[in-house]
Parts: sequence; structure tokens; C-alpha cells
Amino acid sequence: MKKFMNLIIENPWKTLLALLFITLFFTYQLKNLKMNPDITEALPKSIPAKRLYDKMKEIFPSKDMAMVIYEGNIFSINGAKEISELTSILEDFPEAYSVMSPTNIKIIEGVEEGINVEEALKELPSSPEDIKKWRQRLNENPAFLKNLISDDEKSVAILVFLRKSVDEDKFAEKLLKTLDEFSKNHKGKVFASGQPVINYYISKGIARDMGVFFTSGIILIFVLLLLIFTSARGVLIPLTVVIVSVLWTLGFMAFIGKPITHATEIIPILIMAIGIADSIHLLTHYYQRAPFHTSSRELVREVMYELHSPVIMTSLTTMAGFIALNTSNMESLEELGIFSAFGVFCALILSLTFVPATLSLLKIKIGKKWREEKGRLRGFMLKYSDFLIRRKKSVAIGVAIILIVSIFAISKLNVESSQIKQLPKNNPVRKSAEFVNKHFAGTTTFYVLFEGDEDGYIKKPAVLKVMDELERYAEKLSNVGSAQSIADFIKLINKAIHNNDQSYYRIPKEIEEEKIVYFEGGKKIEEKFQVKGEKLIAQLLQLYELSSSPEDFANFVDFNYRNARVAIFVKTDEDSQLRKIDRALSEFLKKNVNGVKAEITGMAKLILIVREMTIKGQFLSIIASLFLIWLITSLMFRSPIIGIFNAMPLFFGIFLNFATMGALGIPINIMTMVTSSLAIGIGVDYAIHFIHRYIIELGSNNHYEKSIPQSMKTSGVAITFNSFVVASGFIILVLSTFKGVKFMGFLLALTMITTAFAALTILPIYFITFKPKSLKKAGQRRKE
Amino acid sequence: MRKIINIIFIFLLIIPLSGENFTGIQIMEKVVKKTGWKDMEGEITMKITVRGRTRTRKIKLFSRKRTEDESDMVMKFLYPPDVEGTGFLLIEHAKGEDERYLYLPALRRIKRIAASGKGGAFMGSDFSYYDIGKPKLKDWNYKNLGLVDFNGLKCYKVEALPINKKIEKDTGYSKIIHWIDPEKWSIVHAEYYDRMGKIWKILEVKEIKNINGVWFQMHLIMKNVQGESVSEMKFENIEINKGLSPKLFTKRYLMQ
Repeated sequence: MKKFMNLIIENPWKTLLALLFITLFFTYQLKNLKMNPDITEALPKSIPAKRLYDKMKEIFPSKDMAMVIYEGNIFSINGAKEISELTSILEDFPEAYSVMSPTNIKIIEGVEEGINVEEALKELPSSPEDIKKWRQRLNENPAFLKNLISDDEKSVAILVFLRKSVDEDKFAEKLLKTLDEFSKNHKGKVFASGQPVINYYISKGIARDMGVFFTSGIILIFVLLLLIFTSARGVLIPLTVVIVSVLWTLGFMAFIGKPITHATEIIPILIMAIGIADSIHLLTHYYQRAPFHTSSRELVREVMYELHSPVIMTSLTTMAGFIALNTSNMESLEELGIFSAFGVFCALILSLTFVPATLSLLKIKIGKKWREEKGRLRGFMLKYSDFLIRRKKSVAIGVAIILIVSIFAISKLNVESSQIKQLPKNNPVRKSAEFVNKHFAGTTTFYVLFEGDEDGYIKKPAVLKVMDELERYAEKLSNVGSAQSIADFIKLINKAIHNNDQSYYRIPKEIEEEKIVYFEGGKKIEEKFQVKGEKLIAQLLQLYELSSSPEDFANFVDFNYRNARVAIFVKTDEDSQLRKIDRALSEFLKKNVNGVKAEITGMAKLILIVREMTIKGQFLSIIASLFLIWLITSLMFRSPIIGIFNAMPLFFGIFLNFATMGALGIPINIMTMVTSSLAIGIGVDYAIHFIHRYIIELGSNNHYEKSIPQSMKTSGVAITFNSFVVASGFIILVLSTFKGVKFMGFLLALTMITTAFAALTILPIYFITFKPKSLKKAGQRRKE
Repeated sequence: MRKIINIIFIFLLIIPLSGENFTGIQIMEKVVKKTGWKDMEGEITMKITVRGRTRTRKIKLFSRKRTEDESDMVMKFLYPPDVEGTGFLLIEHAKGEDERYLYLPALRRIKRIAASGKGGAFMGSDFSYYDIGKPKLKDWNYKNLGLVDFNGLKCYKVEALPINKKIEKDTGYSKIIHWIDPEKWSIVHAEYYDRMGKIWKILEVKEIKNINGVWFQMHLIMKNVQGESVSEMKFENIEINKGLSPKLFTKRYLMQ
């Protein structure tokens, strides 16, 4: 390693040139950087609901649905005109597979000679009677009414089913523009919702956040460095290290085609907050040693010889903590772990190359202000260690009380998350989604996929009956807006074919009694006969398909009637509500579905699974990262017991993190769970620094208590200082669009302070109380 | 002088190739004459594939020309079993909407089906009612685009444009291009363009058979290049110009 450091110091220009080329390469890649807000992409295929969801995408023509809301006087001549105009504008979108609106929805009607399948509003109405007729016709197809007309009849929804190959972001952008144009010269108010639109806004939020984080991160670091070093090199060198690290990391992501997600958007801030520490460390030492040197190269050589190993060690433990996120099984979190680790690695490389190369080219300069500030902090740390030693019992009791109160707070933790509620209250997409959830059937969907083992399976009365019962059952559950399937169509056709007799608004029985009436020789003859329900259904469908188009059913059943789905629209995307519905549905399926293969999937189910997996995965990754940290520090200090000491402040920090969440009502969700894993990797540095120093002191003076102030005035100062710098870096995340990221920023900052506090409080008290032999041994080893 | 000879020579070469000796409508008239029939009887196997799922139907078909541009058609479903015995009757009207009826054995009743226009899908396939009928020469402006090579066959390429917006709306086509084999005067390939002017469907004729002097398209594939579907029609046991009884094309026969 020393050879490597010499190589860098002897060849500063070559080093800088090489770094410049790498930076240019990765910066050029940035043009390919993409955003991806789809959380379901992250799921492993091995999950049944994900397999079903993918199968569903393959069977049915449309994956996602956008919703356009029209608010105005709907049942009026102008209202009808505007709605049907809007409908045809949407139908003209090449991205739309089909459009369903109160004007174009197909109405099935029994007529004298047969059935009629026609759009609800065939011609624009010109009189109040026409409006009345339109309204009546709509009421004949009750299945879709709740999705299309609001409960207060003040607004309508137009559903736009998108083709599978569509770039949904581009579509959403186009749609919003079109609606803007539309509202300029129409009376009604229009706005959009649905997953593609929500995702579009989330992508926009991610892009905005990245910009805000990056600029405010740079400004913050600039100000901090200026306060610390009051010199150009003190500001510019660390700043360059973090900016270039971020460029390399994002460039690398773009290069291998990984898009930025909701989770990975925080990477730049992570890298900046963590990466800055090493160069601050190096520069501090540089300034301390500067008065004793005349040659730049010699000064840099001394600094690097002394510091390269702690710099490498702390970077490695941080990386290990991040990589532990890989146990989460969630792709986007794995990416967060891997690319943050990559970023920390970049910062390490730059700290070991760029920093010495640049410094060795510059003339030696001596900073003044820095030492005064540090002197004040040192005085405080000495007083603090004095206080700890004198009042160790009270402090121990204090810590114990904090822990007990924490346990109480932790019991108040709740798991809750909602994608929509991540957005600020005044965000247009949150407002429109809440509007749809309030007045219409809802934006989140469960699907129950019925999988048959032969063609025509779905035409069986038994199967259709279960589907119908499932719908009626689901509609009674709270927060369910409506439920639909092919069964609704069959009931409508059955009724239409039997002269609109309401008693036929049902699925045909296994054996159906039918009659015909005819006249023979002036006598009325009534002939009764029996027919198999399955045949009747098949023929009803044939009649419908010849009257309209089989594609009318394409969103509900596949082309050869082997697989079908029941759509259940839910008015919320909150975990607890979705879980209740999910449980109720699976209970129903267990009880009522015998021999029929039916399973729950859909966006709602995937959301639930994503969240469950994340939380479970996160507990695992917390354990994994604690283990990794223990392992690395045990090897570093060559003692498994010292390894445990390193982990102790982390336990305290995590404990307090969850307690704060419980006390402030911050819910457990993906983002807040990740906090702990990240905090472990970063927070361990404080324990390492303190223990490292303490062992050295213990080795020289062989006294447990006297070593405390000795360690405090050196590494204690560095730790306090560092934890405030990193915490203020994380606080920037509070500026995010998303609530989860805001909480995360707050919690990360908090955990930095608490782990540092624990390292400087719990460890000293433990050491002077129990006087662990392992430390002494390590001290001796160190001395030898 | 040599130049002039060259030019004449080139012209001599081009003229027979370009097929300028026939106008578009003349070609189409020949097609109607050579492939037309008075009545026909046969079986069709129709395979419709949508998003990788195939539906097969077998049908017994009778058809006749009632007048110069009106036909009648009766279809009896043989397969699949759940629709076996259902019958479909189509009575075409040059003026006004066609009559369409379906006999449902499960209800022992005939139901009238509201006509969805000539551009409606035939049996839910990619063929429209218009595609399977005789070309209605009055509805289109034909233009001979010349003789071209088509899979090693010299064919006339004929462009058809609707004579008015109504035809365009009815059929859904803004343009059709036919490839016609001048030996059999049968359409061997066609491209259909939607109302936005984008290519929509491609017809491939896989087999043409001479039956009683009529060139009959035995095997057709219609591919929807915008969507995810393809339909295949295969004819069997075709008999032509037997003199079918008009009684076949009535509701009463449909129920038998």
C-alpha cells in the first residue's frame, strides 16, 4: 500500500490525467440515465402473485389503465357533447387499446327479435328527453356504472386501457398536455389519474429530488468546508472528491443500464455525506502536520502513511453495511446497497489518489482558525469525560431509562404505507387519486385470476357462478368500490335474450328450463324443454360476439375462454386496508372454490407483497449487516469480543431509531426500514475510531479510566465533528418530494447523532465499569 | 440514331412489363368475372389466433348471388360442440342494412343480430364482412400501378381508393392494394390501410384452385399488423354453380 501511495505522490500529473479520463467517460454515460418508478419490477419471479401478474399481462391486451375525470354538468346537452368529444380525443391516442366512457360503453339490450349491443350514446343528444334516455340506458349496465359515474353524479371517469408496448411516461405527459388544451376551451374541468399518471409524477419527483439533493448537498458541503478550513484547497479538494464520486456512480449505473428508482434516488446524498468524511480526515491531519514540513511531497507522504489504513477500514465497513441490503430480496434495495457501496468505493479511491496527488502539487499552507475551533471542542470533550467518570452510575441509569422508554415507544410502531400519501397533499396526482377514491370505484385493483385446464373452461356455469358470488362478496367489503368480470356480461346477455326479464339477470344454471311458444292451427302451444347451461352460455356468447365484437371481453377473459379474471377496485392503497381485503378474499376462495383454480394477484396484491417482503427483508439485512460489521471489526481488532463492542453503539442507535418512529408516529415502510441498514454501515465508524484510539491509549498508560479523556480529546473530537457533518448532509433529504425519503433523512441524521453519542457514552462507561481484558491485550499487542 | 433505337428498345421492354394495357377497373372486372360464381357450397375451417390463443370453428357454408351485387349466405356450425347446430343467415341488401340472423338451438329460437356495418368483423375474425364478399367495384376508384414481381410471380398491383367518405367509414379502409395474378385473374395478396392511412391488415392467399372453371381462393390468411391477431380460413369440399335452392336461404331452413 505504501508503494502505491508513493507512486501516486511521485506522479501527481499522470494520476490526475487518468482520473480526468475516467470522469469524462462516466459523465458522458449520464445521458443514458433513466428513471423507473415501477415498484413491481423489483419483485422476484419466484413469488406466485408475481408469476400470475406476468401471466395476466400476457393474456390480456392491456396492462395499465389511465383515468380521465370530467367534472361538470354531465347530464346536460353540453355535458354529453363535451364528454363524447373528450372520449373520441382519447380514442385517437395510438397508445390506447380501448377507451371506456359513459358515452361509448356498450349497452346490451333485449329487443323484439334479438339483442342489441350499441354504444350508450349513439348520437349527440339534442333534447332533455335524449338525456333522459341516455341515463336510462346507462342504468341498464350497472356493472360499470361505479367506475364511470361518480356517486354524486357531478363527474364522470373515462378509462383509457393502454397497449402493453406503450411508454407510459411519454403517454402520461402527452395525456396531461391534451387535457390542458381541452380545459382551455371547454366548460368542464378535466384531470387525470391511474397508475401511469401516478408513476409519471413520481418519476418527475425523483428527477426533481435528484437535482435538489445534488445542488443543496454541494452548497451545504461548501459552507461546512469553508467554516472548517477557511481555505480554497480545504473547500475544493473534498468537494471535488464527492462530486466526482457521484458522477462515477451515476455514470456507472447509466453505463450498465440501471434506472434510478424511488429507492436509489438517495444515492448521491449518501455518497456525498459519507465520502466527504475521508477527505476531511486527510485534510485535518494535513493541516496539523503542515507546520513541521517544508516539502509538500514529504508532508503528504506522512499523512498518507498514517491515515490510509483507517480510511480504508472505515470505507470497507461502510460498504459491508450497504452490501448487506442484498439480503432484502428486493431488487431496488439491492441496487441501493450495491451502488452506494460502489460510490463509497469511488470516494475511497479518490481520497487515496486525487487528494494526495493534488496536495503534493500545492505549496504548503498553514491554517489557523481550524486549531482554535478544535481547541474549544477539545475542552468540552475533556469536561465530558470527566463527567462520565464521576457520574458513571447516573449516566448508566439515564441510558437504561432511555432504553425502557424506547421499548414503550417501539410498541407503538405501526406498519403503514401508501404510495399516494408519499406525495405532498397539494400534488395534483395525489389530489386526483383521492378524488377518484372518494367518488368512484377506486384506483387500486386486486385481480382474482381463474385458470382453467381446458379451452371453454370459463363458460361453465359453476365457474361463472363462483366469479359472480366472489364479486358480490367483494363489493360488500369496506373500501371496495366495485367488482367486475365476464360473469356480468353473461348475466346481461341472459337477461336481454329473455325479453329483458329481470329474473334472468343471473348466470344460467347447470340445467336450464326453457320454453317456446308458438301457434299451430290457431292454438297457442307452449313447449318446455331442458338445455345444458354450458351450451346456453356458449351460444349467448356467440350471439354477443356476432352482434358486437369478442374484443369487448378482452380485458376479462382470454380468447379461448380458458382464463378469466375478476377485477376488484379498491378505494385506498393503504397497507392495512388492502391486507384486510386480501385476507377476506382468500378466505372466500378457500371456502367456496372447490376444484376451481383461482388466485389473487393485481397491483394491490403486489404492493402488499413488496411491502411485506421489504420489512421482513430489512430485519434480515439489519441482522446481516450487524453480523458483517462484527466479523470485520473482530478480524480488525483480532478479538471477537472487541467486535461486539463495535456493534454496541449500533444497537443503541437502531433501538432509538425505532423508538423515535414509534413516538412520532412515523410508519414502518420501505424507506424508513432501509434507514437502519444504512445507519449501521455509517455509524460503526464512530465505534471503530473510538475503540482504536482507546486501545492505543490503554496500551501506553495501562489505565482504564485515564485512557478515557486521552481518547476523548483526540478521536472524541473527530467523532463528534464527523457525526454532525454527516447528519447535516442527510438532513438535506428532508427536501424530498416523498414523505418516506423525508423521514429517512431525518432518521438517518438522528441515528448518526445517537450512534456517535453511544460510542462516546456507553462504550466509555462499559469500559471503566467492566474493565474488559480483551482491550488490554489488544493494547499490549499494539505496543509490541 | 443509335440513341433513338435504344430508347425505342427500352420502351418495348417497359410497355408489356408496366401493364399499361389494362386500366385498374378493367383488371378488377376480369377478377370478378374469372373468380365469380353463382352459388357455392363447402366447408370452412376458421382459426382465429389472438395473443397466442387460438379458437377453431368449423362451418358448413352455402352462398349464392341473388342479384348482381347482393348475395345470401347460410352457415351451420359444426364445431366446437357447444355451438354445434347454431346457424347464421346473412341477407345482403345493396340499399339499406343487411339482415343477419342467428339460430340458437339452446333456446330453439332465431335472434336477429343488429348489423354492425360491412366493416364489422366476420365471426370475430380479422376478416370483415366486406373482405369476404365480392369486391364492389362501384365503391372504389381503381388504379393500375403496373406489373410487379411478387414472390417470383408477375402480378398486377392495383390500388383501390374509396369513392367517398361513407365507403371509407363503412369499410374502415382508406386504401387497399391488391396483387393480382394475370393468369388466373385472382387476388394473391392484399394490403389494407386504416383510416389514418396506416397499414392495418395483410391478406395472403396460400392456395388457389380451379373448380369448374372458377379460380377459387382455398386458403386465406389475414394478419392484423397493428394488433395481436391473425385469422386463417381454409375451404374444403367446395362445389360451385350446382344451382342451390333459394329455400336454403330462409329463416325456416336455418332452424332445421
